[in-house]
Amino acid sequence: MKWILLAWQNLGRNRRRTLATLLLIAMGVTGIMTTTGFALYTYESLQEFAMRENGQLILSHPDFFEREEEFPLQLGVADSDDIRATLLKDLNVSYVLPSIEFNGLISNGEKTTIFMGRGVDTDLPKVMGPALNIVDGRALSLRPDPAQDYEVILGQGLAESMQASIGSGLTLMSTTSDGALNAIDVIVQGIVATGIPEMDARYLMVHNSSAQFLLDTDNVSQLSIYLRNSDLQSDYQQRLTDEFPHLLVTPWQDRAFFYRSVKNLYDRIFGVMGVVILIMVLFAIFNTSAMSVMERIREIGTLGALGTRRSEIIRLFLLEASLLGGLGTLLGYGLSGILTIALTVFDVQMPAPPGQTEGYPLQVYFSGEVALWALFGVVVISMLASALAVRKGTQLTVAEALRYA
Amino acid sequence: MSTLVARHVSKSYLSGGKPISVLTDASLSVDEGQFVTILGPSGSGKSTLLNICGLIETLDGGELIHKNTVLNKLTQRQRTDYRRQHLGFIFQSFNLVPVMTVADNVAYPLMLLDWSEADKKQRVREVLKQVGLSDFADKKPEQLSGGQSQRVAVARALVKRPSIIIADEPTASLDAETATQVIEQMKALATEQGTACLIATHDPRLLPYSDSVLHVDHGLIVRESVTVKPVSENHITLGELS
Ligand SMILES: Nc1ncnc2c1ncn2[C@@H]1O[C@H](COP(=O)(O)OP(=O)(O)O)[C@@H](O)[C@H]1O
Ligand SMILES: [Mg+2]
Repeated sequence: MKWILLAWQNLGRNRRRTLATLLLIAMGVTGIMTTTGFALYTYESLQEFAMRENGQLILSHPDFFEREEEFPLQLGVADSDDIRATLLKDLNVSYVLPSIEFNGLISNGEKTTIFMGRGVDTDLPKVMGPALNIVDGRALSLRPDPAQDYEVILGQGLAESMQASIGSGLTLMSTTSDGALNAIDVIVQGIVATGIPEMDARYLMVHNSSAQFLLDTDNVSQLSIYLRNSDLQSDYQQRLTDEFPHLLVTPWQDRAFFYRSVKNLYDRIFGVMGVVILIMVLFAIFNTSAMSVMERIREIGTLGALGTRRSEIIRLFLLEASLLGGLGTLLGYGLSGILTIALTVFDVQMPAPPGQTEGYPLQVYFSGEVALWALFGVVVISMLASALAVRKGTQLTVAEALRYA
Repeated sequence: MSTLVARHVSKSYLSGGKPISVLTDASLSVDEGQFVTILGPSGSGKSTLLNICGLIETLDGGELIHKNTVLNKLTQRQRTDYRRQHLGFIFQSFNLVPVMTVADNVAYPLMLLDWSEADKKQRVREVLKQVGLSDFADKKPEQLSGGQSQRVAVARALVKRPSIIIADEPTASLDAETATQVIEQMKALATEQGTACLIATHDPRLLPYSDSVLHVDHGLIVRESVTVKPVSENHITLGELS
């Protein structure tokens, strides 16, 4: 206790130097906290987006993601209704949404272009929520009227290309699963923005039943399984694999390519930044400790003469450095806390990521885990830097140190 | 009874690659509670002898015995602990720790000995009173005059009742009047608690307080005089030396 007090008093020796070091550490910690906080926010947003679209687990034909189909839904799941009914008996499963991937030609009578279609379940808007960005019109009807034309939701770019608006009639053409050509008339129910321009120019959504009619099949491409609790994911992955040996169970992470590439990129960028910051802290503390030791060589000699052990003197300097590191980190928590709050109060928008149309709010998570790691990292680095600096000052004998001018 | 005995001590330093001999054959003994002064010209090896006796410098040859312990065989860590237990130091330039209060400076040796907070407080108050600095307990060293600083250093050296105090030129930074005051206090306190003093100096005013004076020249103790009142003799000595 006395030693800590003495270390604390020693920090007051050169207030300006101490303050400058503290600020530098605080800024470094703020840098670490806000960049990792931003990365965590981004990861979680993307994660949520991906999970809303595909659930936590995807059931498909074992080869579905592996090779191209020779005809539509060749690699589909046949008994999807039975599987769905079985799975929904489990209270931990909240939704099982089949979907169909297909493509073909879309025409407004004068112009024809290709589309990438997705047959979806009527419950999809419920699970996607805000991730389904309908910019005009409505989502697909919950109970489509068989007397009416099939409903379609077009990507923004595709709607422009077809000069279609809500209520416009269009025709979809595709080959059926046994190779015949088929067409259905559809009516535009809504216009959706996926955020990716290349996607918007081709994308459309119809009811699964419409897609199955067009393709003349009962198969679906995949079943997205939404669990009530994401912690159950790996548990259910195993269970489903056992239960449906003829199907492939894929965790969402394996299909979330955008999430994975962003995470990879950010992990690297912010990892390198963190290392740079810690090295900066190391140099700052080393410098401060080294100056402090040089100024106090005679005092080190005096304390030594009075019977202070070398280890106690080193410990004193390490204590000073860890206090400095610890206080700087606390100050950094404060600064990054203020920054985090400021970012929620003032809505700052990030520019759209490459290949995307929409920016997103700049938000930063305050992560307790990152905070603890930062504290640990800074304190360890402070002690290391100080130990390096102190070694020299304590190598002199007591008599030499006392003679030191 | 002899507290500290040094026999045939030799010491040389490397200077520019070749050894220069500082002490060749120095012997001394300090009895319990005795006030022993080492006199000699600058560069004669007084500090070296004192540092060896104070265990902050090692000797090359000879031996050093404190009570029944052979000190020249100790490891560095053991020497440190020996100083912690048994020795007190007073320096020419006071060497108080600037960030500590007067009371904390005086308490420091007791802290190293793990005294309880209460015992420490009481003892520090007692010693500060003896050196007449009770009112300065909470002051910082920078607020003190030279004489006051050295009295704090005296208090710090004596607070743990060491068996011997090592003081290298304790009055060299003080004016005549304060020097006398500091030495008188030091002697009174040391005598009262039976602490011996081993002092290197060229200040003749210290001689009347000395029980024994060792004249050092070129690393040899040339003469040992028991000073009953050797004022005139010392004047001659100093005349030769300066
Ligand atoms: N660490 C050292 N390295 C080299 N020479 C030294 C060292 N310490 C002392 N000396 C030399 O030893 C001699 C005696 O020094 P010292 O004991 O300080 O004498 P005094 O205290 O009587 O002035 C001097 O010539 C000094 O230059
Ligand atoms: Mg000297």
